[in-house]
Amino acid sequence: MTATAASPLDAFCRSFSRAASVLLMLGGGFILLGWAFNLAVLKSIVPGYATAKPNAAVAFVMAGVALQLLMARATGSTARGLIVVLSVFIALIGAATLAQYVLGVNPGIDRLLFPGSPDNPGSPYPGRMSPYTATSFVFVGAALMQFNTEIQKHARACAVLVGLFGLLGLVSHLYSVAPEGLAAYTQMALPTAALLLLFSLGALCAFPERGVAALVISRGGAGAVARYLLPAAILVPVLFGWLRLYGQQHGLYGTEFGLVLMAVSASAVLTGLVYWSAGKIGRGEAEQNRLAAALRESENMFRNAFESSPDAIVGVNRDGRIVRVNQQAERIFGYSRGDLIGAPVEMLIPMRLTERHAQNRQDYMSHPHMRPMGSGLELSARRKDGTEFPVDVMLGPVETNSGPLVLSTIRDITERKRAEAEIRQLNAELENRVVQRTAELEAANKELEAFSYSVSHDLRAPLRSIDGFGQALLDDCASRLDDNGRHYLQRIRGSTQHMGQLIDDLLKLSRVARAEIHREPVDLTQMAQTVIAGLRGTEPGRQVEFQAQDGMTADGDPRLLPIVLENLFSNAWKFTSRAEQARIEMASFANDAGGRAYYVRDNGVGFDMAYVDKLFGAFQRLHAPADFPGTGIGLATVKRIVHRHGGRVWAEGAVGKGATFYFTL
Amino acid sequence: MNDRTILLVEDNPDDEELTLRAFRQNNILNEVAVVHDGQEALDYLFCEGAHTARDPRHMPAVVLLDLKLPKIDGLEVLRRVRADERTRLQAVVILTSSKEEQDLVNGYRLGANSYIRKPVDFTKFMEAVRQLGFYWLVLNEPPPR
Repeated sequence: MTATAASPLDAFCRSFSRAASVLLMLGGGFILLGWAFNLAVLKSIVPGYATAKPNAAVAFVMAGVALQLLMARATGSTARGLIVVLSVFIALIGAATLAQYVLGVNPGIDRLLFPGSPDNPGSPYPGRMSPYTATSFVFVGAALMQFNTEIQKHARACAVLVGLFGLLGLVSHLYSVAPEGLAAYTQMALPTAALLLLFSLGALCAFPERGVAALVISRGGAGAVARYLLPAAILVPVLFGWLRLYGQQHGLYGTEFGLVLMAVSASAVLTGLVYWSAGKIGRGEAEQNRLAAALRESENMFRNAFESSPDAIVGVNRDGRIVRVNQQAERIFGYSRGDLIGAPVEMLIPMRLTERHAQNRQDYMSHPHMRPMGSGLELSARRKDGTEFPVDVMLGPVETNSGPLVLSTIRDITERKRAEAEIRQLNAELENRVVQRTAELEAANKELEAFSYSVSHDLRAPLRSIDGFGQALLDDCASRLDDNGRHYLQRIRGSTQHMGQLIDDLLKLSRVARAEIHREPVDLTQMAQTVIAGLRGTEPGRQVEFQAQDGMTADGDPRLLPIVLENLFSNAWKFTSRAEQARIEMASFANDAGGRAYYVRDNGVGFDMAYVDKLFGAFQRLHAPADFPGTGIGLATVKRIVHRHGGRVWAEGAVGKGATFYFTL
Repeated sequence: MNDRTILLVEDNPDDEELTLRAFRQNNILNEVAVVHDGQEALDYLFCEGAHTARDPRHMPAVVLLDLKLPKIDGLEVLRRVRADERTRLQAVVILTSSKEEQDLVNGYRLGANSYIRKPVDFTKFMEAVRQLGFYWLVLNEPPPR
């Protein structure tokens, strides 16, 4: 039975042992003092009782010293030698005394110490210890010697025998029995009996990790039973024997009945104790069975989890040999369980890495802890057919009865790697495509710019010629043309000029589409007033009432927003030309989205809401050119600019009731 | 008016004719030298090639320079004129169809004295030419030679 190392009972045993060794020395010392000063109390406790002898006292002192040395677990040869000398001397004291009894000689060794000090009167051999005591010392010496040489089994038997002799002495005194036969020579003294018992217990407790002491202090049922049963087994017969004797001596019953009474009582008490012990052991066993079942259940669960794990699990021992594998390990490596068990784990590592792996494995074994293997590295494993595959490995140490084991959980990440590679490639392709598209877009933009430039330059040149020569014709050949001819020429010139305007507006629209938006705070009120002032300049004769809300600001492009206002205001200006009291206003309000919306409102001719969708399309016009001139590009430009700002533009109106144009930025 | 010449750099014969007509109708009777591409314009100004015989001391009062020209374009002509010590102070007015922002910026950056866009409407063009002639031939004092 293995004792728990640092249990409090264990420590108590050792302390008890140390105390016993000290008491042995003190006891021996007191007895010697008693002889030196002839003090009966120290020699026999109760005056008139048998005396403890000086030789015995010396033996007790030596036994105390030897026990103390044993307790110190001294390993030095001096200490060891000293213990041997002491044990031999103690045994010799016993043996020599016994020899005196057996051979019937008296060479005077009993009175070697304190030859003048008187023993009890009537002692057959003054100063000589009882034969039991002498025998006990032979065993005391033997016990100490063997504890020293660590033949502990026999040492403990000797110590138990010494205890029995001590018990014999004590019980004799308890029952006041005058020994007969051999015992009649001399009786064991009370202090001697007590000290022998003390030595026995002290010696047994000196090594609590083994023997009786270990059993008594052990946890669990066995220890508990021993702790109750052992004292009971010793005390019950003694107690009942005394009771029997007591009753008999006081004439309560005769010898035979006393014997019966004692036997039955002892049986009854011991039976009760056995019943109690059996129950205790039974409960212990039931608990053990329960624990065993729980262990089996846990083991089953673990085994199932181990076997059915989607990852391969390989247990490797200290020597790098595989000792355990699961089904997945067989599957992903292509080996059978039989092939794997006992094989070196390097069998599963790519050839080029086996050496390094063996080194790493040894390093890991010196500091085993749960961690991913080769963190940050791309790990590979080798199948039976020699092919390699990428893996993730988790390492975890497990302590087993047969030494440390490293459980490697290995995941085949071929599929994951493939998916990752695919994603990477897709990303790269996407990036390429973006680069390509951007280049295409840039090229298209360049082309568009070149086209715009060309339109601006080359398309206008012939128009100028048509107009210019038309005028020349009117100037130089007017006399040869009739009114019709002159009218046609005017129509031609009107058209060319309109087309020139169209080209200009188209260019403006395309510039707006391409321009980058640079937002900054813009004073819209100021801007509106500037635009209106410009319009008043073109037609100073018109009376138009204009109102702009104060402090209108916006976050927008300061080059593009004026184009918005110019278009909206010039429309308003144009379409109010027939109103009696033309009025144009601009204001802002908080819109639903939490931003601000702006509007330009006029009381002009308005428009039919049925055509509202056409308002903002390029070249879409709701009025005849004869009524209101225009290219139909202004509102398209407004819409483009507003959209480039991420805003919205819409209109409300009715025929003859003016129009309102709203926008957000 | 006076004996100052005008150098018209214009590749389009229609534009050339209309411009000359506009001068005429505005009674601008000064000599108008016409060249048809950028190279010829430079030859004229530096008295090279076909214009070797020209008196270099007699520089035009103003050069009316189109931007889109064969061989050497107008902006390049302007750059070379400004780079040469002999013509660095020559008055150059860009007279073109383009109103592209880039052309305006480049023209002024290279040191054009003025930038005029030819309107489609001939009436307006006439007005432009009239003011141009009056300004550069009469009002403006050329740099001393």
